[in-house]
Amino acid sequence: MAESEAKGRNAVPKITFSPVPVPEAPTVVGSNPPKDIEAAAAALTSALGAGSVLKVEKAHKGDPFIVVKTEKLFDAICFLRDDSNFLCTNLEVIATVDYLAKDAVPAVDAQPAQPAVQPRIENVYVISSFQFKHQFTIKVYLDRDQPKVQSICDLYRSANWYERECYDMVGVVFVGHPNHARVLLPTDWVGHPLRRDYVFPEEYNGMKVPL
Amino acid sequence: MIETMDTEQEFQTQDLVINMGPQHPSTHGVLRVEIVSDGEIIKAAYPDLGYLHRSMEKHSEGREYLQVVPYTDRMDYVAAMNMELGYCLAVENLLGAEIPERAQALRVIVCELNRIASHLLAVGTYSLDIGGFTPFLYAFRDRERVLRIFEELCGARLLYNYIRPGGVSRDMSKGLQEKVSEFCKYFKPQLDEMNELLTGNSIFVQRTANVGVIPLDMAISYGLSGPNLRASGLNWDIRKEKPYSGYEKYDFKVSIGEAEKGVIGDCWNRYYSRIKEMYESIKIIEQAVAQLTDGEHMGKVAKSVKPVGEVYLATECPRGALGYYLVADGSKKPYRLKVKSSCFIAISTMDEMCSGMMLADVVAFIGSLDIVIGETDR
Repeated sequence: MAESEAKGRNAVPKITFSPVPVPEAPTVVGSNPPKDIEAAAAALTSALGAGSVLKVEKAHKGDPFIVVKTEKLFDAICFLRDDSNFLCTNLEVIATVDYLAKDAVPAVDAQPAQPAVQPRIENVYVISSFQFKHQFTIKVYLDRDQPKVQSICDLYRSANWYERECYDMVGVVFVGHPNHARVLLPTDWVGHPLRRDYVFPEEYNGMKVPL
Repeated sequence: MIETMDTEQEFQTQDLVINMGPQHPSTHGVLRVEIVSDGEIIKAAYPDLGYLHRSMEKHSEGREYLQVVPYTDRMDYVAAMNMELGYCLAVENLLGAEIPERAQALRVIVCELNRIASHLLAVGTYSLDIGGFTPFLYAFRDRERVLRIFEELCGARLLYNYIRPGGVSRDMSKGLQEKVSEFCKYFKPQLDEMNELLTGNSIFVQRTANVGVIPLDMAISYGLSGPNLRASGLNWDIRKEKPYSGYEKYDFKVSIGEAEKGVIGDCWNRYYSRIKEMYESIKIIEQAVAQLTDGEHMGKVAKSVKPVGEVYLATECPRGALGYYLVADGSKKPYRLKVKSSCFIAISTMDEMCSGMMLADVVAFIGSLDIVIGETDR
């Protein structure tokens, strides 16, 4: 029988993935020294051209991160995944953070002063390598009104659901995503709850929402 | 004359859309899977999440750091200690807090005990899915002992609220330490018994070996972690590779799939890597109890903390790597807390993996991934 069309509400067109470079199994991992964020930023600049890396931030506590140009995101992640010096074959997470406009906070109680924040949406990609044991945080800054970025579903299969979640919760649109639908909330839900200015609905389908 | 029917017409089959769940017992919670089947063969399977969505990430934006801990409990309610640990490590990382040695060791003990409890549940219910009722009872009998230890330690059996930023909420008494050591002694033979009962059982092996094979490149591309990734043959355990909470002090082996039965990456190897991990957990607990030093169980961390910065931290939970991406803006509440759940990703493999499978194997496949819906939906 000929391959019939897939039925069902959640039917998705099948997509082909570009293969991931795989460590030899069972590899004793981490024999190579990890690369630091400066090396990654320098490699990205030389591979993607000047101006593609907007910022390397490592003054704050926690993980340092690289901000890349929104148009260069796919290429940047693809480079870090496939380059033999980085091999970031593992996509740890895609997180989205919504920033409303915020005034500068002066230093209080031994806390450092913080700069004023422009309203924006940050898409955060955490990728790591099994061979090198390093982990990089790549960010893109998106426009709050029309957040739009290229999908990286072709690079990692896991990106598919992470990106759906980002769309579901914050409303980021991923260009080229094979199944751009909500994943956790009902399909008829209005709005994106993890926006900072989200107003909780009083009613859902005629039912009162308890607050 | 007998009229002969066209065989093409006679055997014309039709696609049937079946709903599996959300109340199906083998979906381990409230997962709904929309299955398109042609007879016994699955053509596609579309998981539908969100039946247990409690918007933990949104709630945590409105709570103080300490108040978020109970919310993390309720994600993976089967391994709540491990959920708490990841969150507390992320907060402590931003605070730069020093954790007393005793608190670190206590954390390791409770997390490994919880890992055993969680794997027992996974293995027990897996055998139940496949049709073996007895191992389930044995597993729950032993799990009960772990829960009793936890009950004595912190008063709760499932949702502990035990690990806090800075340490742990209560100290472990000498008597309870002995009980933990006793449990380790008791549990090893029980695990051997479980091996005899289930691991080599030919019916069980036939149902699980060579079924649902996830090759390594696919496992990596999907970002699988924990026992699911190790069963596909990668020697990767966060406790070994990026040690936290003093795991570097303990001697244990990473339990990767070695295809004693079936092939690497199949359901049986995923099951067996959990059994092997329980043996290693006992080893870790025994060492941790033996090396337990006197001291404080809580470091000097204020109840209301105001960290600044952002960090992504992953820990090795029973179901794989659980990561917290925490953005702290210097206020009392987290600005954003994103949870990377390994079950969420494990379920996303279903569509690709289940196409072409037999209907009965889907149950074996879901069970071998060991998903907890509380963690996927958060």
